[in-house]
Amino acid sequence: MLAYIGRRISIAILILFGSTFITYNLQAYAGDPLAELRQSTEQNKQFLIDQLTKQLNLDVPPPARYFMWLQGILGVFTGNADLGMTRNKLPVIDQVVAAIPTTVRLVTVSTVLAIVLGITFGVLSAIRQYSRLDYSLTFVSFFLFSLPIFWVAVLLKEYMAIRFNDFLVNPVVDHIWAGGTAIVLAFVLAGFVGGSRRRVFATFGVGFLIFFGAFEAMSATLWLKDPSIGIIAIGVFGIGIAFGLTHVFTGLSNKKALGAAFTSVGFSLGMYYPFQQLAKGDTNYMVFTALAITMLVVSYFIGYFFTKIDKGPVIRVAMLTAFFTSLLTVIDRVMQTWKPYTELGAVAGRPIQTQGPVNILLKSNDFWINNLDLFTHILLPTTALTLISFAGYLRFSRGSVLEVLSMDYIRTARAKGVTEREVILRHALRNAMIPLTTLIAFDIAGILGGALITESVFGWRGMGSLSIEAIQNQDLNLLMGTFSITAFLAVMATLAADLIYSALDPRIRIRK
Amino acid sequence: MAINFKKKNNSEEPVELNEAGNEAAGTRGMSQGQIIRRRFFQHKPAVAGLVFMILFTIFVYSASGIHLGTSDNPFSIQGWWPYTITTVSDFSACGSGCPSAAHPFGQDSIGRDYFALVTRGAEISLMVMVVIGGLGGLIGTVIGAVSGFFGGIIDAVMMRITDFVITIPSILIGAVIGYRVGNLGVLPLAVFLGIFAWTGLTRLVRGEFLSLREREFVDAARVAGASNSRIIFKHILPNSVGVIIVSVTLLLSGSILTETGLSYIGFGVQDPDVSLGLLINKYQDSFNFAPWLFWWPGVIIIAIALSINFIGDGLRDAFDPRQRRRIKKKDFLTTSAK
Amino acid sequence: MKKSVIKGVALVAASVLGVTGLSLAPASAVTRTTVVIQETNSLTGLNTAVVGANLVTNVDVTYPTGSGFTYWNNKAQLVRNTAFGTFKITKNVPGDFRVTYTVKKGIKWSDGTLITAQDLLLSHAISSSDYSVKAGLGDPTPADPDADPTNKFDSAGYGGPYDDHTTASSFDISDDNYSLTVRYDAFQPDWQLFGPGPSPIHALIGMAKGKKALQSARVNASYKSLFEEAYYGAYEALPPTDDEDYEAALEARTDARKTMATVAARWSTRYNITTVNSSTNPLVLVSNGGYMIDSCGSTSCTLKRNPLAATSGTPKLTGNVDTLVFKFPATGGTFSDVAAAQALANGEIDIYSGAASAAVWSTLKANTDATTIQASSALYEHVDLRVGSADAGAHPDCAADYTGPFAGNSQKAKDLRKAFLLTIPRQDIANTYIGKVFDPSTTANSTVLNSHLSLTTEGDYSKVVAGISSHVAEFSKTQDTRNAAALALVRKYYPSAGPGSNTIDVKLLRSTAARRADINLQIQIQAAKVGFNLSNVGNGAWPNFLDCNDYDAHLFAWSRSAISQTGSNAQYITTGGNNSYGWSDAGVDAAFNKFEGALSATELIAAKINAEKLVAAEYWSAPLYQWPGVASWNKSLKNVMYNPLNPNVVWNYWQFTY
Repeated sequence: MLAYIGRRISIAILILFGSTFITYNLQAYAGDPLAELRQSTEQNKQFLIDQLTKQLNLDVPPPARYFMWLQGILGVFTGNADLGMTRNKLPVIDQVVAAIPTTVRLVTVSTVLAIVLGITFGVLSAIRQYSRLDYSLTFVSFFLFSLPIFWVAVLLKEYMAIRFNDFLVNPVVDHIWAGGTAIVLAFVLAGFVGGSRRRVFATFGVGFLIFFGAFEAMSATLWLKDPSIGIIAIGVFGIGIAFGLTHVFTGLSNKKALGAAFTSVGFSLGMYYPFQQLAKGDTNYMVFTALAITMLVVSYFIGYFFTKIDKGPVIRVAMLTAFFTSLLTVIDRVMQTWKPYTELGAVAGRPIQTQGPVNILLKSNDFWINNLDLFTHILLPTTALTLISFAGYLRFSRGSVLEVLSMDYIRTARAKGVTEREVILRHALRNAMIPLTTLIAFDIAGILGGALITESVFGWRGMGSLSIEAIQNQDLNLLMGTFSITAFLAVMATLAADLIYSALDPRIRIRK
Repeated sequence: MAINFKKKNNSEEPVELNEAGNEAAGTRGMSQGQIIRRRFFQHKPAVAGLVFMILFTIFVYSASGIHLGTSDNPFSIQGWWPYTITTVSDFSACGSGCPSAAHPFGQDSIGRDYFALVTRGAEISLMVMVVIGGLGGLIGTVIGAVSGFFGGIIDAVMMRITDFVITIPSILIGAVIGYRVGNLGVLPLAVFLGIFAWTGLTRLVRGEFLSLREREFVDAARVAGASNSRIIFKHILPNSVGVIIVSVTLLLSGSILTETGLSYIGFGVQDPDVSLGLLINKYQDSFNFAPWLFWWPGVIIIAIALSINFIGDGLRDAFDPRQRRRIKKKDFLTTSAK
Repeated sequence: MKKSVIKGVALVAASVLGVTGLSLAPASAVTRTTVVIQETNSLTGLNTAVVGANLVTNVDVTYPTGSGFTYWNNKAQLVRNTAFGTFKITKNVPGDFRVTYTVKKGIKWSDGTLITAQDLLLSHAISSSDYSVKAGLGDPTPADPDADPTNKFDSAGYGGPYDDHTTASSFDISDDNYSLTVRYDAFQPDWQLFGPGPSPIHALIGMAKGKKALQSARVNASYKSLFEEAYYGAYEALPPTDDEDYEAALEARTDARKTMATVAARWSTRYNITTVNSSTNPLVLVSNGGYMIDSCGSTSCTLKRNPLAATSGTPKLTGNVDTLVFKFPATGGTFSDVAAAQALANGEIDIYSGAASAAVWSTLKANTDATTIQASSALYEHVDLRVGSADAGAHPDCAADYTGPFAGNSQKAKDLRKAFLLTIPRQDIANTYIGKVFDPSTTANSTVLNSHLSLTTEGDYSKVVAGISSHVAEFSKTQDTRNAAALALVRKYYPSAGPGSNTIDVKLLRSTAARRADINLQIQIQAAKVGFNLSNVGNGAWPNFLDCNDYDAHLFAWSRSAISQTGSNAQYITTGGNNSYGWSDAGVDAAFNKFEGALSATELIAAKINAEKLVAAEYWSAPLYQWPGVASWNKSLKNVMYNPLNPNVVWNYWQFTY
């Protein structure tokens, strides 16, 4: 195995050599670094051209110039790798290092969201194949997948930022509008619930009343100006979550699981007030992480002690319930920050922003203010990215689950009387996820490549926008800086995918 | 949301049929092609997508005409629409090119008929899509199949070549084509993008082949003396056609978006050629000023990509022999009564 | 009629939401004191005199941190800044032209150090090749074209007329250290543009000595004299080798050169930063503007009011703005105007200025919380026709000689050139790119640019155009009349030419930009009516092919970075650096050479008219239109004015106020 990995890595180095060489030359032949100067009306134009020619070694043919670049990179073995300078005489390494965190923040969030949502809905879509839900999800995912991102960005900015911020001045929803939205949401809800026609109608009716009531209440209390959930509502939602998760993982007949879930809800509610004290504005990620871990550990043991047999699903229910209920508590805490945040001079009542990763005028030490600021900036690009990459996961996981469900061993499981829930959760899902590992490995490796267009449209200076800038400005060193990192990760991702695949699926053997 | 796991006896609910029963009852005496066709036509969204694509293609090509050849050496047949993409007309009454009786989609900034531009753009985008998707799908399937089936050194070499191609950024390909051979028109761009678009598909097909070739039916076929090509084409390929079709449709609809993205960065189809991506990019800022310029190309791209995806979905269901069919009881009754 | 269905739906939706008619209430009663300015490119460095760093964003960001003898106002006039100092011609005889600059007494750098004439010395070191060579700092402009330049100051200032007309010892400082005289070997028509600018030499010496903190007044004073000594010492002539002082003199010169070389290295690299924070060496930030750089990151730069602004040499700060923030987009090339317009509408930025398109104009205009104005930029679109090979030689990948329809100065070539230029629908093009930008309902009477030498924004434009009125009139007739005249000219040589019979192939070089493609099409349609078969293919590498003999015509825009008397010479004189089309005419050369001399305003106009007439008679080129610019800003911000030249909208930052 080690020998195999070693061999693969040495081949990877060869591939990287080849692809950097090709990329360097492609880029060199894809433009003229002197183009801008040639149109210059400066009186010392020729001097400027000579200077740039010297600076960029333009008198050396690109294949030879590549080796000058490579020489700098190979310094990595002597401890002083040199990625060279950009056209503007800034060290490439600084640019890349500054861009990586921005990109990671943007793309990680949307990739994780897309994976979680895509797989969840994909599985749902598969086990309810050819239902209204399946058709709607298929339609929605295909629709989202078909959107050109920069085109959508214009719309998102117009409606989710500008018009929404305008709306926040006086967040009162018109009755007709509230009614219309409630109808749409109730329709979606009814689609998810499914079942007999009567049940659908009932869900639709109840859903409509709830949504309509909620909108009216939100208008009456100007909720969006100072939103909050409150401990009572968290409790109500928590009980709902407990029922829902128990139903999905064990069935409501499993009283132990239900009991564990309720205990988790109780625990989370008990943490509500201590959390308000512990997580004040001066808190930090350390405290926050410690709290999260405590929550998970406690809920693990709640599940562990509630039942003696088949602990797995009960623990899962307890932990997930605690997680979601605590998430509501955190959301509630963030909502408490909303009003002070919007009233800050730097925000001036317009929280949702269209450009950049942070509000550059905001100088705050408050943990919640800063995180809310990150949220209001990441919202639009993440929405755009998630919407578009979510479809791929949905389709692949749906297909994969359907395929597994048609396998003989599933039929065997059913034949021996395993419940449908067990069949899906224990037998089908795990195997269905195997083919997705390839996709996930590539997407994770692709994170550092950045989102070329999204970053540019939303003004995030990450690896993607840096690469575009490098290509357009004929900035070879800069492009090679971003490119060698993404190429390296892509090659590593294929290796990782192969290893994971063979580890997960024993039918696939790596041939020595 | 609640997931309903209980089986209902309601007659409206899908009932599950075992494969044998279904096939025996519904498809007795039908050829494989007929079965596939029938399965496909049962998938209503796919049929709707197919009908839309056929009508749309006919509409677009008949309206705009057929345009082949290079810009120096064109071969054109004019369509039924009176305006071409090089006809500049006076602005209709409102003065800024808004939609009118003569120009239902409006006019662009210099007075060209936007309907002509959009139909011609759709024509070129369809061509780009077919070329990229076709080339990518073909190369990807062949390399993936060969690699996954034979394994060993062939697999290793092929996969390392794939790794190599994966690392070449397609945006650079677009940039080089745009800069060096931009004058040759759209086709070279599409071909080059297609040549580099197969890597994802290859890995999926290979993965599928890797797992399928270890299955019993392959061993059985081998024992029965089937040749490699027979095993590949008759046994494994039909089993992996679902994955291939889903990927190719994603590739097809993805390629129309790739072209759009390249246009945004400035390396896609260039004026005076026109594509939907180019139009979207050119008029992305016209959201307030001339909404008709903003909306039409976007809406058409969405419609095309949506239809292609639905067709792919239908094909997948139709081709996949392992597909568990859930047919409504009444459908089952009517078909078996025939 | 004007409102589309979609727009109507959107309006209905908006009114259902109840959002129309509401304007943003001020979030707090505190007066805003921050101005956020949207840039269209990223910052690449703080020293705009370094090669490659003279970019719009760099200039915009550093402009409020410095002041000098002059600045450009919104009418593209060079204004003398008396808060900094004064200057005048002190000698003007053939072979000796002197300008004396006097720094106002009492003005200070931001660290409190007095600004004196010594601070102007560096500007000669970074502009004079002769100085660089004689001071042992390398040769920026080697005579051998294959030799690499070796200059130690990585300055973009070498190689121009200033360099040609000064020597190493052209700078003399007065005894009181406040005046400096520059000696040229001939009269300089654009002498006002060549003024020396101040550099914080004490901070540079500090950096050269490895200091990381601001120094005391006494130390700074000693650094200044140290720099002055090194500056003069570096090019001091040595006595003969057998002289007894030779060794000492050589050593002194070596030391001086070493100091200058270190200063050159610091000057060339230390300002190439895009991140400024508390760990930045404060010496780098020593400046003399109304504001000082406080912090810079990848997406923005924040400038705070300079506590010593009143004595910095900047015009008096009259506003209440204490912070300027420059916001950078993620990338230059894909920056979308509409992204900026949307950011402005969402209150994220206070000022945006840039090129205008009809779409961006209407989006900006729709924002009732902003003031939006139109203006003409310093960029003008034109069509040039090739006559022969470029003086410097043809592009190696193209034909060695130009043999197209417009080649040479025969009557036939001139007639064809005239015919081609006549058919260009200049009014239609201007209407598309100017008329529709500013008022979608107007499709006529937009200004066509009629002069090659003056932009419409220059004071003498109307007089120059009046001087060539017959030519302008001929080219301003209706399209049909001009086409008829053109057809008559073409039929002299191609009797069957006309619509449907396009016998003269014309290959046009243009970029791949959509706007150029549209203009190309507009010209193509008209040219086809008189027998020209105009190509319509973009070339991504077009700037590289300006000297290519395969092209007959060229469509692009020249950008003016300054309004200067000799600015157009490089385009029309036979040996001019921007004359790539083989244009050559003794009369034209003589007419343009006049601009090299001293001219009064009236003489200048007369000279321009003369030059315009001669150029027009050759039918070399047709100016099309001046690109429109737009500026839009937060309505509560006062005194913002569009400036077509760098530093654009920030030119009068000292007047910004809420």
